[in-house]
Amino acid sequence: MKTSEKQHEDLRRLTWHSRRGMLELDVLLLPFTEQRYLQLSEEDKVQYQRLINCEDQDLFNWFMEKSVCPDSEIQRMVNIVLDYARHG
Amino acid sequence: MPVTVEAGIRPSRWRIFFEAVPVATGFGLFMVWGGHPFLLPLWLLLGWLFWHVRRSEFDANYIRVESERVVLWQDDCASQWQWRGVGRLSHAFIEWELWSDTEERLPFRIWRDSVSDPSWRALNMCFRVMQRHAQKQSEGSLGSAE
Repeated sequence: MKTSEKQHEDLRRLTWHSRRGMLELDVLLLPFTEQRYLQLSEEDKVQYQRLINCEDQDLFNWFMEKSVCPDSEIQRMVNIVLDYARHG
Repeated sequence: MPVTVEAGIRPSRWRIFFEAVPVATGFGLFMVWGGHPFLLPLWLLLGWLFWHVRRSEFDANYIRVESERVVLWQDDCASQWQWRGVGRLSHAFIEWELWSDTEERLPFRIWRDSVSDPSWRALNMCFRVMQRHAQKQSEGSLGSAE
């Protein structure tokens, strides 16, 4: 499989995973996945996939800044997503 | 492009209820205590003043929030405002203190029952996520103006 095809398959999978049970998370994660994900470094892509695999309630608390993720790399990715939501 | 939230706004029934409560309470007390006859016109005057002040609230029928920029539509007429991170989030309403380019202040409130459930949740999220950013933007622009 070509690299670009794999990237697009990853993107489709992640877009699907970004559709959560919580609308608040959809509003934040979907635009980021669709418009920003492919521009991330390989390391950040891995961290983003880890973030997407977390529980909805944890994600909600991190994104609403009610709590901080104990994993600093995931927290860094939370900040990147929030920064994108605020500035584009 | 920052996260954008758009919502249609319907007239709120809660707003009318909240507006009516102080007037009804005052009138009820008057009826219970049977006070002086001059209290009745006083209550009517207070009620009319209260109603008049509340009626002058900005009634938008559509809102778009994009980061600290807020666009309100009133009868197909759009107006642009800036949010500086000041406002109030409660279970019943969200209130933004908005400013125009000409430094005109607009307190704008959306009641819970005037938007759909998904819009309410998206606006809630937007308020929480954008508030600190809007405050920083405002401090930055005020700092550079000084």
